[in-house]
Amino acid sequence: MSVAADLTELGLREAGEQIAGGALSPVELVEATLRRIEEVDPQLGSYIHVSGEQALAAARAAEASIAAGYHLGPLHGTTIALKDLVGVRGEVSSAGSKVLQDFVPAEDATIAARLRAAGAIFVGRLNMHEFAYGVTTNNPHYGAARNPWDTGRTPGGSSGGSGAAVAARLCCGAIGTDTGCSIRLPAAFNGIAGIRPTIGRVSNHGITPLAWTLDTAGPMCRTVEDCALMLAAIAGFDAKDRQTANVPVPTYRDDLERGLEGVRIALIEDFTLTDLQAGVASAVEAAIHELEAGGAQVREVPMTDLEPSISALLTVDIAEPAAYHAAWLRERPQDYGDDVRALLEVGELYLATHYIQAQRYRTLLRDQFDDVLRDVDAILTPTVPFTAPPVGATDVTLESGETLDIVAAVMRYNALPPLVGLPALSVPCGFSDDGLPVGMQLIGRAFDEGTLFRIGHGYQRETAWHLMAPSL
Amino acid sequence: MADAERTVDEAMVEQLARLAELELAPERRPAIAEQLDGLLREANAVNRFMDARRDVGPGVRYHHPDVRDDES
Repeated sequence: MSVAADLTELGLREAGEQIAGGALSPVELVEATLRRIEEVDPQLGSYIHVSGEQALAAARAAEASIAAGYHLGPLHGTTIALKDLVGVRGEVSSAGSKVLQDFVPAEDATIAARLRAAGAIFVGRLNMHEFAYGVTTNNPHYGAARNPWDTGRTPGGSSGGSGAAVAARLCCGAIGTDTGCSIRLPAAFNGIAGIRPTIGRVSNHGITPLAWTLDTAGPMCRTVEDCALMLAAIAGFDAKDRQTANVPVPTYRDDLERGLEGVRIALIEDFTLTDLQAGVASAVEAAIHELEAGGAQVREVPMTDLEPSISALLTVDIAEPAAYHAAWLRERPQDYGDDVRALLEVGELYLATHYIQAQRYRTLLRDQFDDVLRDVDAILTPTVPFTAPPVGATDVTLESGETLDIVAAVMRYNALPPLVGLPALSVPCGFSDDGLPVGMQLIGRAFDEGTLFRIGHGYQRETAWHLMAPSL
Repeated sequence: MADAERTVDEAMVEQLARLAELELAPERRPAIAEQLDGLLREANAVNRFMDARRDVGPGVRYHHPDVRDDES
């Protein structure tokens, strides 16, 4: 193993602790990270832009600051990469598009500012599906991102660069955004953890929107514990984003230490474990047994009315982007990739009643989730019913033999949390026979990300899936 | 799907695009018609599902009832 790979093996907490204790220099960490990106990323295409000079300057400043006694917390001096739609002052923030290829924000997005204030060092901007509008990160302008476990496979999307970069040890942690699936799907396909926070928990100010009533930003890291550390740094009310709620943000340290004993987890009857690829089914079933062995109480609950969820999610996720992109679609349609342009054009032709009915369905579904979550602490599903398909795949054949468009296929479990606005954590829980990662999804109560961290971290204390690294 | 089974055809796409003041080149209309047909079929199923629940409005409650968004 090279020296670069050695240091980049450190996760966010480990790196932060070593930096705080003086055992690791932020400059050495950044240098190792930049070397590894140079060595490995040509195979993956996870970065659109690497900010080498700025990162080294920030690392030197962090080192001096810590030496002078100013330690800013667990992220100080660690390497973080941002999905290309998170605005950073003075840096091109293209949202993976040609339309915004020259867009340079005048100020940081709120979450970028908060990470900066926590001492994080930005190493670059991560590849993504154009405008976050797709599930593969097969980007026509910046190239396809690839899965580090099998570079012939997709890392998922839209935060595919974030998923691939974290799994490949090209940063300690990354920011993704999730409208319909875009943190949890790439987390599952790349064998890392990712949390979609409650809508209103994290500010969207300065982030290029996709669908306003669904969009969230959140951490993608190797471990659940690292996600908790990063969420604590970025979450909270923001006067610049009217959708954020004024709810206190815990440090999550207590939650992480509570363990699995007594935690109540629901499986959805005739849904959680049906129609899964064999490798996904066996991994998720084993994870359920592991949770029970650790003291969790797992039981099945009936839920109804889930059938329209994918259609409702797609309706909202087609109508709202069409509204946001209306002017650009008319002025410069040729600057969009084919798939995104077609979806935007279709979105122009929906009826208002379709959108309203989908929004009404969300209310109905949320009531049902609230009822279930009064009696349990989390609802467990797979994150995706199958493992990562080949790069370029547009359809997926499910275990039942049904062939679906890949967007609809990945939404089976992913669609539920965005529709109801609740937090959801994807945790790696095994591998298929062909060596591809599998993730399980834990859905929790509003603003109770801490309980999801408790369960996810409790599971990771008993298992080693999160320690597995792809060979690159 | 055979054209005869389609609800949305190219002429309809052209009309809808005109209503939306969206220029849609003729060669793009067949693919858009096919995609829109499939998606609207699904969206119409949601419409029919919600017909039985006229008591439910479109306000999505993202937060706990006891959380006020504008406290600062």
